[in-house]
Amino acid sequence: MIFASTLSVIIWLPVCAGLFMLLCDNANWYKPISRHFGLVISVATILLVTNIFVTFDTGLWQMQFVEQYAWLPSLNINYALGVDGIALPLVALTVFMTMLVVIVAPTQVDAQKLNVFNATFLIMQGLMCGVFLALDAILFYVFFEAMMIPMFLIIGLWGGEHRVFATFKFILYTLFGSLFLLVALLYLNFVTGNAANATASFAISDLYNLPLTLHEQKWIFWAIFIAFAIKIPMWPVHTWLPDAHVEAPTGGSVILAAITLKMGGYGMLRFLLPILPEACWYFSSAVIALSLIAIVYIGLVAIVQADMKKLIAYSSIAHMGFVTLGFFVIFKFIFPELTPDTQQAAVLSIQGAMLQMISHGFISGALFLCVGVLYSRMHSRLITDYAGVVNTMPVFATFFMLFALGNVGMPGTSGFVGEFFVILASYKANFWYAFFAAMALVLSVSYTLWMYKRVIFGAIVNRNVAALKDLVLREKIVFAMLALAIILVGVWPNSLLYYMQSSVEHLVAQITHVK
Amino acid sequence: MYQVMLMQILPEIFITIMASTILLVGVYSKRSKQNICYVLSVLTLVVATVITWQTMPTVSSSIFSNSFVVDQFGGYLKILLFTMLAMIFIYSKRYIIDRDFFNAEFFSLSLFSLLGMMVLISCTEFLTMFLGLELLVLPLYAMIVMVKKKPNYTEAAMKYFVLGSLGAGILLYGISFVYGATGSFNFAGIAAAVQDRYMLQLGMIMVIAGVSLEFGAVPLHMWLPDVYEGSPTAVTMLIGTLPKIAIFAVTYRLLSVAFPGLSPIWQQMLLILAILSIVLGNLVAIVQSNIKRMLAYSTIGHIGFILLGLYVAPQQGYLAPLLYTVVYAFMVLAAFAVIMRLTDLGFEADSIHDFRGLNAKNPWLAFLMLLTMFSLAGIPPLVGFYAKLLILQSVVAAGYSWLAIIALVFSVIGAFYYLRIIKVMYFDAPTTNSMPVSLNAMSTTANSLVVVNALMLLFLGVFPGYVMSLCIRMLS
Repeated sequence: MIFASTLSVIIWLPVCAGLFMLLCDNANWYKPISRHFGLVISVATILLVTNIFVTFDTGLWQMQFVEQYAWLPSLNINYALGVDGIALPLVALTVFMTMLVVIVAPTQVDAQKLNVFNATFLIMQGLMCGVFLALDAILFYVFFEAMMIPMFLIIGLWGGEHRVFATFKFILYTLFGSLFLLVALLYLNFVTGNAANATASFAISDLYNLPLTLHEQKWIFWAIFIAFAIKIPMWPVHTWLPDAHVEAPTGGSVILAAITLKMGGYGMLRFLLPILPEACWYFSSAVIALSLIAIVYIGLVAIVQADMKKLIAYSSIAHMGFVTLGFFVIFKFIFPELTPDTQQAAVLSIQGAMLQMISHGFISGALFLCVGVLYSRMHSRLITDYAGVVNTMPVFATFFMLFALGNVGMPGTSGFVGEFFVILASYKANFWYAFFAAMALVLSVSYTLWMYKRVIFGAIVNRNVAALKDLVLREKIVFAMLALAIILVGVWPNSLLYYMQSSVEHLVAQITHVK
Repeated sequence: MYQVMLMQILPEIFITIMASTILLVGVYSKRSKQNICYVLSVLTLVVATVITWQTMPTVSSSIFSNSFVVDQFGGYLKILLFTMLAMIFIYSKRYIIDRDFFNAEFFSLSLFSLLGMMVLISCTEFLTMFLGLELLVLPLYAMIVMVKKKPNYTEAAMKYFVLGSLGAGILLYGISFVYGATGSFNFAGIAAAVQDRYMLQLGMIMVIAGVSLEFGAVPLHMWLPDVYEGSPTAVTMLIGTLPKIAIFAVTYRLLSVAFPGLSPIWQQMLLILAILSIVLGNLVAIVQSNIKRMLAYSTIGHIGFILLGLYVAPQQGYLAPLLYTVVYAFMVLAAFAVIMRLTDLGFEADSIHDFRGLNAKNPWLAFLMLLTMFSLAGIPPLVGFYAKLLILQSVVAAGYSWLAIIALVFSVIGAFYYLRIIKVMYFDAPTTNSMPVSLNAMSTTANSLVVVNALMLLFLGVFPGYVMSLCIRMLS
């Protein structure tokens, strides 16, 4: 019976459990189980998602496991959920990363705060899954915004020294972006109602193929683009991210980097590309330029960072540049006519961008956890405070090496596949796109490995480093799982591509159908 | 014939009788036994709810020579008012006992003001409307100065009185023009009459100016922050919630019944009022350090949203502004309830700093305030979002996307000051003198009601269909 509405359970089980945990925070009977309750719920959702993976029909591009109930009938807003090949990997990423955060939480937070901490992350998890699963634009928006409430509190409550500034910057930035999204959605809704004998609808699939003039599309494009560009974030609206990442607690940084950034990319795939293909084509050069600036300029900025978290934050922005590049570079060759050749390149490009999202989720999450491990022991994020960590933490140094190589895009790690696909596709569009995109490989080596070298190798100069203790069991488990995921996707990318294939092909067909 | 009509205004008659009875009971019982007035008042409201529910007609009918209308719109709104007033009584019991005005006059005056609102909700002509409006505000003037110990409340009462009278004056002057132009006081009669257009327009502009002063729309908002700040919290709570609903109802009747033909003109007026209110309310609220004053400016911003809904109402219908008004009143009630919960003997909890570290001291109360603030900021999944969504949806559907963007930009600016309250509660450390020692001054009933009130905002945010269908039924 429970499987009939698996998607709802995936969303609401963690949310309800989280609220329950907040409610029982001080109850005596709850104390003994509080340490494990969050993990149990988190594992339960993982099992549900696994079940979806097993029963998912990869041959279909349509939404599967669809649920639909009238939610606000007077506005024709429905509570509609469904999953396709684009959403499924992201949902899996969400539950996986949240589980890791919950597992590692006891090593990061005080015992008495642990329960509230886990509860907040579970609520986050449910809402984030909601974003990926919603089939109704307003439902999407509700999850998209609601997610900010726990994030606001996570950064503000458990963050670093300037947490208040960072969390305000984060929430005001995102609110500002999403207001344009809301107006755009309302406008699209208004257009759906305009057609003969049609009722206005908010269903995302009803927003596709609307008779919008290019002029209208241009306006709507920027409204939607700003919202998602802030979320991803793209240069020049990225400035909230370094602050938020640096000030957030480790778990918050992991979730921010691994999942919430992906919502921007997911939003572009769900809304921007299929609803406004002509405007996307029209502005593709601009977006590609912004992406390349992010890849090159932000890569350079990352090199000079003294703070490890800030460095990884900038590296995130640079890596997300590949995602937007992969999405928009296809417009350079799919119009005016789609040949099998270009179709394949377009699918490759989008799949590459999606793989990049997943892989960046694993890798940036892993790197933030690495910094978290060091921070929880040394209470410093400055690179100069460390040196020679390998002498005292050999196991940690090994894992860190693997994640660093993933960040660099070493073949065999997940970081390689996505970037490689995107570079290939951009070569198809223009040599110079590929040239600048490929510079990322050089830049990421410089900032990642240079940081690694300064932190891990060398002689121990700081007495605290000499006293460092290596990973505890919980940390080892988490790192091992991440390492496994990174290598699995790296050597066998088909494990994910297999699920995305038909949805992405359909998306490309949908985009090109218009012209 | 008259019996039938009297039956139809049974709720009004009942409230009148009970308000007078409570006054008498108060006179003949000792100072220490005033609790009976409180019990009687709450009972009155419960019974009035039952009566209204029972006598609510399915079709609307005009009675007393078309001066009064009995319909579902009015009926439901009156029930909402009864509920909210009962909540206010329960919330403020402790507060008014501590400040030594727990007496029959407080309850009786509140009920008389309520009677004014009921008349206002149901009026269909200018005389009844004026009567209702005056009956609404006069008791409030008196209630502000009921606290004898603190003389500074007089200023607020005087301001309210002077500016309220000014509004009434403008309104009366406008009414006389309208009467001169059409020869009718009756809303439907005005719309049907052979019109002297210019005089009618002049009159209408004054009438709307008078009404918007009662609303507190910019530039006629000056009284609102001073009155909110300068009144005892129990009275602010009353002023901030119920009258807004009543004035919305009368505005609805005015615009949709009396002046539908002049909509291009009043739309222009409302547009300017709406934009000014949204801009000024949200900007000025940022710099406030007194939470009641901040809520006053936020009220102005919200009024702007209601006016925005009214602006597009000729094309899009009155559902959006109605929903906004109802939801808004309940949100503000929750906010004041939490403020009230923090007050104590000699401690008003009206500075934002008084909320410092609330989460550390009372996480549950902080959580309720968090819900209320996010709801006021219009962030889903709280009900405030749907109110805003509906307004924006109708604004966009009417073809004014740019207007929706302006409104939203300023509501993001507005989000800042709501978030600041949350920041103070959650991220700041408590200071020693910022909070009363005991938080349990209120009764269990009041405490649980605060919880219900705030959680309702979340519940209706997850299931917005309920409140929406209620509003649709009101307008059908």
